Amino acid sequence: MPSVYDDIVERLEQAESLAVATVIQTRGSTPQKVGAKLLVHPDGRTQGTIGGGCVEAEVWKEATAALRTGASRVVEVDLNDDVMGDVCGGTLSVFIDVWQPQAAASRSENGA
Amino acid sequence: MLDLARQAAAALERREPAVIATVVHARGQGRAVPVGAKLMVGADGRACGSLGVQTLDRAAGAQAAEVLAGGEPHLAQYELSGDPAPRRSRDYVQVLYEPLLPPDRLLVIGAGHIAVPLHEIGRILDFEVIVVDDRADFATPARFPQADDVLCIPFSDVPARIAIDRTTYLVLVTRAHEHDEEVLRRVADSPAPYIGMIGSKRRVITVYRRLLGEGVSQEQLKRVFAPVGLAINARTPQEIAVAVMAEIVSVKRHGQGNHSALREMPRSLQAVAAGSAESLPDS
Repeated sequence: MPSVYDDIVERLEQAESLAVATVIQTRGSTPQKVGAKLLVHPDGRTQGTIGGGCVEAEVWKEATAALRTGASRVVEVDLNDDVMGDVCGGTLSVFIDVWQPQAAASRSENGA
Repeated sequence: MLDLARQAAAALERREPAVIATVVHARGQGRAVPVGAKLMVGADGRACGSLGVQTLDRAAGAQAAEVLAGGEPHLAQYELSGDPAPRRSRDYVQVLYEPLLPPDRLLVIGAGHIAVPLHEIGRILDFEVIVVDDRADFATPARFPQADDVLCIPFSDVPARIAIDRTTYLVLVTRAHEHDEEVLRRVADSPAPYIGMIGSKRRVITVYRRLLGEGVSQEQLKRVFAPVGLAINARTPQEIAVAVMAEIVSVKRHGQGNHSALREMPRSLQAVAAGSAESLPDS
């Protein structure tokens, strides 16, 4: 059964970057599960889910931005701001990890 | 990074557990290590990659066994020395530990009409799905497009050809109870968390009687879910597949499902067991 790491290997071997967003912490009432992952490719395609539309669009936006800068970082998502606020609540921390084919030294070449 | 991803993919492929530790955030002096740095630690303690400093690698190596045992992701904060960072510290490295666990496996023995929806639902529920039958025209990838593997082997080869471990959920749905019996005899003492066997109460009792006569213990047979599935009055193959997979979820998540399985051995069977075993555990 292919895992997320098979996808990462495949992309890196094609000399492409990809962003892996992982839920690392939740506070309050959230449907998201710690450890859930969403893969975001430079062309905007995604694989996997971190638990639904409430949060995924925002994480996707952050992930595509991170792919442009090449910098991995934690983003905080406040579900109470969402238009679906009565469905979701609480906040979560998502680590957006940019995997690059070469070490960070070549980061600048990966810009948009 | 590529090397670590390859190692992680290979470990999962071999169904070997491991832990990946990743620096997800660094503050103050902690910024000496790069965010995104990773260390993978195998179940045997072997490591690949680095969190950036030896002190952190050592701390992560020590934490890995605990994360594997717990089976859940875990966040921890360290000082650069590798010691836990105090709560309100301004200098720390935050490390995410993620256990890499092989996916639970659904082993469907028998490739008949129930196996097809069973393998589809199994896939939806993120099981690695393997289907086995001894008939070449049934055990085909075309019939089971969602399966990770379809094996055409004699039923007697099941435990020898497929390792049955703590993550293997086994469903016996062969075309004849002789075959179910054949497999059950060989897997009754396996560590599988779930063994389900299709069949009416009468068919189940026939199988149990023969196995008890051969010396299989009542305790081993009590683990078997037969008749299979939650009691939802399922009729069609698809409904039966839903009942079976719901039962598997209930077992896996320690739920309160209402099972169809025999809970007590009928008296007639206890007598058979008494002939080959020394005790009747619950009567």
